[in-house]
Amino acid sequence: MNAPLIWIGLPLLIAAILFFLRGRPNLVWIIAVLSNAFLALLAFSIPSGRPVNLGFMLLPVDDSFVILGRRFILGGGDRPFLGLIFAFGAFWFGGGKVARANRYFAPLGMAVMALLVAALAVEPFLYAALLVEMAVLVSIPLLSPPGQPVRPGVLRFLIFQTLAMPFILIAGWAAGAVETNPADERLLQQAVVLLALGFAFWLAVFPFYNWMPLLVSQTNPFVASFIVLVLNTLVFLLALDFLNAFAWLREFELLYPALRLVGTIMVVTGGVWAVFQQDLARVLAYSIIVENGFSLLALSLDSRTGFEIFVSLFLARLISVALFSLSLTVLSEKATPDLRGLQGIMQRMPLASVALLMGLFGIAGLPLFAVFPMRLFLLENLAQISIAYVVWPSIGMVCLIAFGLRLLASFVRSDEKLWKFEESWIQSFFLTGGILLVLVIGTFPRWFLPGIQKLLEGFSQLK
Amino acid sequence: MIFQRLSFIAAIILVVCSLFLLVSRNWRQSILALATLYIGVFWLTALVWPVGLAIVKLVVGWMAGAVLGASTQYGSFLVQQPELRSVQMFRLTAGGVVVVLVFALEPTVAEWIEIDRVVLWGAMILIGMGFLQLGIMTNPFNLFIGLLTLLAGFETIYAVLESSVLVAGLLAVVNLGLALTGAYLISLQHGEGTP
Repeated sequence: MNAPLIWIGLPLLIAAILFFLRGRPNLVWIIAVLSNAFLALLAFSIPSGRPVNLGFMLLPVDDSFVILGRRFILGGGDRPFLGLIFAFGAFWFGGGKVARANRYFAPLGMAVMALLVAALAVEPFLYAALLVEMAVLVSIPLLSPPGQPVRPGVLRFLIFQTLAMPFILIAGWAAGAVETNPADERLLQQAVVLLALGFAFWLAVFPFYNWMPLLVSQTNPFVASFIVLVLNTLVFLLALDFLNAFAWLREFELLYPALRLVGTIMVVTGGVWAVFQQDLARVLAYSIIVENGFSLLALSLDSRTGFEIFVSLFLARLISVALFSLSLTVLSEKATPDLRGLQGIMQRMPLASVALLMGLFGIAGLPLFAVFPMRLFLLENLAQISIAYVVWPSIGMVCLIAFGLRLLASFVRSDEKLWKFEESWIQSFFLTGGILLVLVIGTFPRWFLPGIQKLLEGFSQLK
Repeated sequence: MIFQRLSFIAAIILVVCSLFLLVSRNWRQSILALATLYIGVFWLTALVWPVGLAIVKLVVGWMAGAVLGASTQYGSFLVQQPELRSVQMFRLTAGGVVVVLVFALEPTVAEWIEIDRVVLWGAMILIGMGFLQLGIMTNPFNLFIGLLTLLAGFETIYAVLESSVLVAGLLAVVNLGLALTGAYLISLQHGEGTP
């Protein structure tokens, strides 16, 4: 037995089984949730490099798997990520039923997750670009399911993600050349630029983010945000992998100021565009852009603290965006998901309305919500570099909060006297669970952060 | 050896086919041009790879074209309305600008990547035309033709840098995957998908 077979082979096998069972949605839903929860549990419980005690025998679990001369390695440092991503998968596939995602959601979603884990595990890393591209291609039927017209957002998503692949592959070649000839300053700059462009396309970094609002507003927001989040989380980890692997990249002096500048622009523009929107799906997309901007700002600190904040943001981001997109999809069933359409919705669907506001305020970084502790710590550290890096990102946050207040005003504006609960029991279950998680993570961050920060164990070179 | 001496013909094939793909509104002619374009790609790749391996590019390109063609054959959406000659002239002019730009930029790129000038020139033409297609076209068929053109250009350069059989195989899978995704989206555009 080996780790890549458990967390790559098994999900692919389950995805294939679910694909053939897609005519039985309840069974698919149950299998998807349980299998993801099981894989997450395994990730947290199977020790790296030691055999697993099954009671009647010791089962050795190897960290690597060799195929066609290439190695897939999932070591101890990868386990927290695997646990996080599959736990996230369990929540997301569970929510898929609530969000009325199409019947390909669980099978293809699991295949996407398996391919992205494979991208993280593969060595040499240049194969990661090809695996990510395959994951993107598999995700297209999720975003544009049969029976629905092709939306420009889906095409733009595909184009931008595909453009990343050539840049990353050539950057891989350039990186190899820099390793053999580190004194060549020009080659070094070219390698960094190629790498930066590749990651910019993948992560929808400014100015390549215009596909994100289109994609989320033109497709099922719950499905779109699942694809975007799982892709972004993996690509951010690949970025850490690159920083860990290449000393010349870590020591490139323009890298961190550039990350700070781009991160700040993303937070400010994301927040400012969000405040003028009417369509909540577009606000969700801009919130993800703001979150990505903050992740880049955390990376730009170039310190252990910065990397800890960077990985800590993963958990809070996943849960806040999940709650936002789930509640948005639930509200969309009863009303048009814009400020006018959702006027007075609080009295008809209080739980979904509160969940949406909590998701939005959570991403905005309001105190007591999941992102707040990490955001505060990040801004404190940025203040030591320049106060401008506190002021500008704060503008983005304030804009998101301002939109939240606008939304709250719209939600409560109603002439009706009676309160109703139009959410179904299963919707209420998932929404309540999400609300509690956001509150618990925000109120007691120390319960969760040490576990998530173990992600950094796999990146020994990051100081 | 003969491939090497006559490599300029491959570059000319690439220019003509990619310009034709820009202006064509007939899917049959576009697929034919794409197939011819891959002959040029194969030719340039054969300058740096063994012919047996380089032919993979040709086969995959033709398969991708066939998949796109198969999904398009029932639809006449590409000729929904006759296009103004001025639109075609604009595209041709834009394509001409790309050719001129490639001529201007090629010496700079050649300083960085040391490869045969004709190979680099042909590859850059494909990348430029691919970007142009992606920038000015809106329907899925043309967008996927643009993506395949762009990737063909990139693969021609990458063949010089990386000769791994596995990478070639995976790139072939990506190309076919793109064609299948294109076929799927084109069939949705026709309203053939069932919920």
